[in-house]
Amino acid sequence: MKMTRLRNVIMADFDTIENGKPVPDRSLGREDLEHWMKGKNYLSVTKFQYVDRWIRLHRNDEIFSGILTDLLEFKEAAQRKSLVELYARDSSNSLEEAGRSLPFLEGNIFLSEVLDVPAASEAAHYSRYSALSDFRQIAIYFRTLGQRSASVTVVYIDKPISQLNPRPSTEQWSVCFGYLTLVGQDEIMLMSDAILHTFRGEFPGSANAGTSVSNVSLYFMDEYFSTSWFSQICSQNLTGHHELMLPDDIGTKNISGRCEFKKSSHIGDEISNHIKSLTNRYLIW
Amino acid sequence: MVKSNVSIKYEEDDFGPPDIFRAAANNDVEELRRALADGQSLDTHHLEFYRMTPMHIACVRKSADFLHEALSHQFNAWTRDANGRISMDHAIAQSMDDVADRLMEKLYPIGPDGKPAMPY
Repeated sequence: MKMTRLRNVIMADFDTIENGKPVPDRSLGREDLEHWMKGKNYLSVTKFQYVDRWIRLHRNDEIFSGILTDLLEFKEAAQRKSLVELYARDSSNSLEEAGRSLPFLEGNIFLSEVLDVPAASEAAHYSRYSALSDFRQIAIYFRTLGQRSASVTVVYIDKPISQLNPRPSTEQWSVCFGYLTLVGQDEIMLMSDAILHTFRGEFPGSANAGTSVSNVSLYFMDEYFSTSWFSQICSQNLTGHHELMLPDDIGTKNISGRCEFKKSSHIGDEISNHIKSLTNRYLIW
Repeated sequence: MVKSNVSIKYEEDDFGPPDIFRAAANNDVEELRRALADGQSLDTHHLEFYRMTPMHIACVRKSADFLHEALSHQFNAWTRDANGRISMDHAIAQSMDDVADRLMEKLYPIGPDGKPAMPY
């Protein structure tokens, strides 16, 4: 799009016509946009507000939805790269091997065991404005794979998935996003250690704001992995110790919030498509 | 009125005065009306909760009934939370496009000259 045309599109609601001739509003000119795009200067707040309004107004138009999706992927890739640099500084061959094994995760949804007690009730006790619904099962979807790091969507489902009807109400499912980053490889056990970071986009990032960090063990020969959750699981306020409560008959293996996730192939299409469609739009807005 | 399924425990507050933030979290229109009649404002920042206003909290929690009612009242749609976001940002991120559209009208009301009024 030519710069004059772009300027006219942005300012369409502000330009006027007098005596049959168009009178451009002087608040934003073609030169302003040109210099901004060439990196010669920033747009001032008084000029940028017109661009901001235009983007907000047309955020769902086809051209913008594509651009915003690209922006989201760009930001996620940058965050994955940062985490890899932070955690996977050792570029040993074994870790490279592990990275090549990651694709078994991509595009798949893994389900936790069914949790015994709605853990969010405890969180809500501490947080009167908690956005965390009661949940009985956690689904982790591995969306995009980078080198040694994958973008994940974590969904807290309010009932055991086997008890959901094919078209459940998903309004109150809490969702957070994050990254699984490889940090080490055990060649004897054929397993890898990874760190799972999850965030709630609504809030500033801190442990109290719903950021959680978990150790993950990946066994590449099997279609499951296990996590050792730390005390905080994606609540967004002071939740105290907020550990997963698993059924007693599972035994001692789940002490300290250890939880196994299994690849699930029998989630209904409706639920599966819903989980796969979730994106972290807080990275944009 | 549809209440969310989130268990929020209110102990001493249960029989106390209305709380506009609690109304936003619970999607409680009745409590919103009582809170407004009590003199509480939709523009108040919650000092312990990321400086969110009731509008921010309602968008985060997808409190549709609360928002429907609140949008018919006066409030400053440009109020920002601790993360610098306005309530429309939360509405977009939570896929509440109908709410986002109505907030857009609050953000840029049409002025007497027929043009959208800009904030700066």
